[in-house]
Amino acid sequence: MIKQTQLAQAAQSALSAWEGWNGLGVAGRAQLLQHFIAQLDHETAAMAQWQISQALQRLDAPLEMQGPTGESNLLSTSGRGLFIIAGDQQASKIAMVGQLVAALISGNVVLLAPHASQTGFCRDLLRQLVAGSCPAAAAQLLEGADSVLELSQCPSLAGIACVCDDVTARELNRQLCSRDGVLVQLIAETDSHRLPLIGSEQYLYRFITEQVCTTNTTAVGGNATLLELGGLNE
Amino acid sequence: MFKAIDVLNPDFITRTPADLWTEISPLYSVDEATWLQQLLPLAKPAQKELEETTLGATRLIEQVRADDAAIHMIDALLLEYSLDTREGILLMCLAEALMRIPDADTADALIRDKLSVADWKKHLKNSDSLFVNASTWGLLLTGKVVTMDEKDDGTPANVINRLVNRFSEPVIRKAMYQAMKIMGHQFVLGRNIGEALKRGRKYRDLGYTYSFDMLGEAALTERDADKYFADYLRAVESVGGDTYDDGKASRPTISIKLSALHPRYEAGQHDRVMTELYARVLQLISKARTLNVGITIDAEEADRLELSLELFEKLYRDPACTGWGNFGLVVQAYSKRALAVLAWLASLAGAQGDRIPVRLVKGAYWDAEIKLCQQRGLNGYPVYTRKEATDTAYLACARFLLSDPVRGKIFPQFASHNAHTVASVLTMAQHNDFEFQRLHGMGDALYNRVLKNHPVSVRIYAPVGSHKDLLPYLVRRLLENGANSSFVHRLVDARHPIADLVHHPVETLTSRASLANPHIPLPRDLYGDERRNSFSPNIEIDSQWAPFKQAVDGFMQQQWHGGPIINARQHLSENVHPVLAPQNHAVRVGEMHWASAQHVSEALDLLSDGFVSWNATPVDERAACLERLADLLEAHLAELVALCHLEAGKTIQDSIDEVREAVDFCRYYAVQARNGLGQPLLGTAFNGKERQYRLDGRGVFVCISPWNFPLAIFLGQVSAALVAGNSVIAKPAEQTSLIACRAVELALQAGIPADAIALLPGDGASVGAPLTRDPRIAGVAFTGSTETAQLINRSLAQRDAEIVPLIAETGGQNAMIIDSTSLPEQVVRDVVHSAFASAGQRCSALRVLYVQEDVADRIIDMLRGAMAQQVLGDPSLHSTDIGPVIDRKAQQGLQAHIEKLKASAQLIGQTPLPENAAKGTFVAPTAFEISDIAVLEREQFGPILHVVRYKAAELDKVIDAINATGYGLTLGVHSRNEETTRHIARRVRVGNIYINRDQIGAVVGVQPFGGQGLSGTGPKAGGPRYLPRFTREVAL
Repeated sequence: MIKQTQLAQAAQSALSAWEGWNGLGVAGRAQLLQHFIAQLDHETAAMAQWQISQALQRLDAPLEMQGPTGESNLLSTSGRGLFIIAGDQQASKIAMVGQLVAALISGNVVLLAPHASQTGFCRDLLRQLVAGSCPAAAAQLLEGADSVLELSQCPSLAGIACVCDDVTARELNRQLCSRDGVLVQLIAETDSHRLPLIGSEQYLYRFITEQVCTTNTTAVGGNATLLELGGLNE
Repeated sequence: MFKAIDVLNPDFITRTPADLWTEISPLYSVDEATWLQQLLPLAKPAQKELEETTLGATRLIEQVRADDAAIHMIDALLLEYSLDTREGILLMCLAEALMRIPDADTADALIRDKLSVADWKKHLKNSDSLFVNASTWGLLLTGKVVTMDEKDDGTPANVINRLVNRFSEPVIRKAMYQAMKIMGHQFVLGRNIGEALKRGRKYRDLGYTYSFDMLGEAALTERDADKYFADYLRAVESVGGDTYDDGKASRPTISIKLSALHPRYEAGQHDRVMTELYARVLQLISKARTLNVGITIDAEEADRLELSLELFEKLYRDPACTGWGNFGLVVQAYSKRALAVLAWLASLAGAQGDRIPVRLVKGAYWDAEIKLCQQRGLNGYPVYTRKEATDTAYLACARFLLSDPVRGKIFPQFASHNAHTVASVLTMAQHNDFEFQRLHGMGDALYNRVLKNHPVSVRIYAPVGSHKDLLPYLVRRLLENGANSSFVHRLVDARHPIADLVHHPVETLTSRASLANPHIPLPRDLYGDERRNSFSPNIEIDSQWAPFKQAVDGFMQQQWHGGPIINARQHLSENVHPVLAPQNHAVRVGEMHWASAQHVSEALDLLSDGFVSWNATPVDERAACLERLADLLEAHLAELVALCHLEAGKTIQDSIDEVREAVDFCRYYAVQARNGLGQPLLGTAFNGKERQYRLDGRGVFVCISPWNFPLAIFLGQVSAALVAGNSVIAKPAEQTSLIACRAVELALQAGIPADAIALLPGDGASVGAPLTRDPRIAGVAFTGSTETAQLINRSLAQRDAEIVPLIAETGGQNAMIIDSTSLPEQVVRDVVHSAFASAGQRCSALRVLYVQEDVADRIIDMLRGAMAQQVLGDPSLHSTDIGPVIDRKAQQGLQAHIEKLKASAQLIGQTPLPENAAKGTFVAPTAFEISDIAVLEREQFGPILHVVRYKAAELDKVIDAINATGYGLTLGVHSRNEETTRHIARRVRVGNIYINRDQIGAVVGVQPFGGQGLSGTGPKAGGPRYLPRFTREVAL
């Protein structure tokens, strides 16, 4: 049984690192995660590397949206905030690493709450993260939870990603929905064998929020791009 | 459309002014190539004329280049800091903002921001002009230090960067202010007319005369308009009292900018313009006439042209003007309407017998006009898209102005700094009844030659006023009119062969593959081949407004009857609700039959079955349905606009924009769907193996939409869910179900199958709740309050069924941060629009304005004045800015908040209610000053603005406070400091940030919309990641 005060303290500590971690951008975080990946075995490393590749491909560079002359519109992504990463006893190491890396590379900070049988493995994971210069507060271990359901009232939570069965997922969802405030995202992988959710190209999108920055580039006057077009020869 | 060449026929301008007036407006956005084909014969010179022009231009340029003093003042500055260099732009940016910044810290930060990112050193000593060197930062910071530093590090940008860091900031700031003063001195002839007259003597001795203009920003308040009026009146008096007379040049005149004389100089406020502004200008004319000081009305944006002409005619025909001949105006040749305007003016002058002085310019708002048309989805541009097309049009207009029938009616004043244009006019002219005009500080050498060689007058258009007020305005005009600088550049640069500078624009234009510029797409082609931009008529232009209004009026008396639509059939129920117009409850718009439990059940059964075949329909066909729906929406624009007026209380432009957004959603999602849904996709799995999968529909999606965007958000949700392969049950807001009903009828007409879409109007309890607790529901898209989103979430969670997506867009506590570098007029215009447009009933609307305390008094004062100018009323009237709020409940809640704040906060201002306010649900736009965003408990969804002052040093606390609300939808920022805007954008957690503009009106596919935290789940509507959330991944 985990104490709510312990949960709250961990959440607060993790969130203190969020702005800095999120501010690194996908490429910056990917760089910091390389050391960590190098310490993993082949299969878990492949999963971690796959999540990072997906992020670099899908999230890294802001998208320049096509629009009228005289303004710039950039669509970028960032993490949602604090994620709990959890798994029941069926959760494989690959699944746990997949969830952890997906959350981190997207720009979230993480409380990792594995099943007791995976605590040692997860402790090692976090040690390697810190050794690779990932801030310790950005990914912390939560020990002692008997079930992921105990974690649903964690304050300031943006989401929970977990590997569990259907019944647990639905119960967890009900508990999350009973909270006031932000609609907490539940990203539940219920097929612990094939991992169709964690292994989906759409998976990372569940961990992010999007931001559009629109700049009127003619506020001071003038529009160099357009002038160029106006005088362009074919 | 008339034949352009016919203007040379003496009979043409004998047509009555009223008759010729009808030729103007239809040319507003006439097809560019078609109209240029008409102008070319007018502009094209005969061989002899061409040879003479080329020779004349060549000689002029040779003489200018031979002149040691050829370039100075602004010419020299533009030559060194060409506007196509980063340094040139940054210098102008600094000049635009620095002098108005009252606090040292912000000024220093702006200087750092601009100086540290460009290569200033390369401009040192390149110029012979003292002015340019004085403006060059290296010299101001002493060349010695630069040289010293260069030994350490050869990178010039770093040199300056370190200089800025090394010198004490007050020293650098002082140097910068000095540089700005020097620049101001060059741009502005005098800080007042007295000084201008004195400084102008030197040029008058050379034979020049002047037109003075108290230039500045447009007035937003009555008080500003009064101030500008007083300035103009004083100027008239001073010029009238001027005793300089050399018997050669004509007397100086005054140019006036109408937008400075009235806070609402716009087509929508036609009556006020034709009475209040009319009276004001008439007063100036009367005074000017008694003192024999000519008056010229400056040209402004294309939307104001017809209004300005109407006002001109009324003033011209007034007894105060008749018999005078010194009341004139400016015509911009880049306008497609220019020639028709000139013909009309000639007819007017012929009919009345008083000469009209007309300054023919090329045009000063070119890029702004292009941008605006693209944003508004208009059917074309009011201006030409090639410089040589404008030059051609200029010469076509010049030929008309110099033609015999026009002589004595219009007194042409040719304003240009282009040697070839000058030579063309000189060659074309068979008489000397015209003059040239040039800008103060530009084209000195060119016109010195003209004066020396030709018996013509040259007038200098000279800005007068305080440097602080004028610099921002002048810099903007200069940047917008950057083409000037390119000619200056080439004119004096010996490396440019003269032969290249004397090409006739007709030859250049006709040598192009197309007359219109293919690099500047028409507004409808903004998004390339993928999809068409949605269309809007321009309601400021009579030829577009009149037929549009007539079409809308045809629906304003209509009654609509709606009800549940199931299996493509509209049902009746016993639960019937009358629909009343929010602006006038006496107006019954129609009635709505709300769905019963039986309807809910029927719809669920039908659509659960219907999903299978719709999901199996090829994605291309599904997308085509959306595209047909988009076309149908545009075809029914008038009816939908009428419904927006009557059912939702939306103003005219808001209503058009509502339909446009719905159209854009349909077309955008069609493209997105074709790019990745419903077809086999290849990927590499995490284990390295290839995998094939498809994104399919999930099943029955429920779409629950709000009343504030009853068509756009309604169809945004529905079209996304449909094209992804889901069948859709739509529950519109109770207040706006009629328009939703029409939308579903059109969707069915567009080919959406009867068992793929159903409409269930009704309230949350009887329709929303049973839907969201049904286990067959595969997902919900919802826009509305955070509280309702939570209820839906809980309802879905209670089902013993798969966990399904809830895509929720919820509320906001949207802020705007403005610092002391921002331009008050831009800020206040954007604040008023962001906070009060649509009666503040937009998710994105501004609620809390953070103003840096150093400029707060000025901003708040201007805000109060601008709010007083807003017009509340019947939203179907062009004159109305703000309509009603949606219903009594909303009105009462907002009024309660206003009453509460009246007791606890400082009231800034309140827009007056309309006369018949009690007939509907109006809330007066209100602004309060409060201490902190934290005192606001919840979002107030209406026209209420809260203002908070902040200290510049506490910007991060402001960002923290905004983040602490938990909401994160939109944020506005006004600052000239790019580092400040980057810092805010990096730290603040919101979905949409708008920099140096208003913060509403996100465009589909351009500004995908949606928030973070309490403001929504994402993904963003109208963005590339939206559709996949409506799908299920199927492994193949």
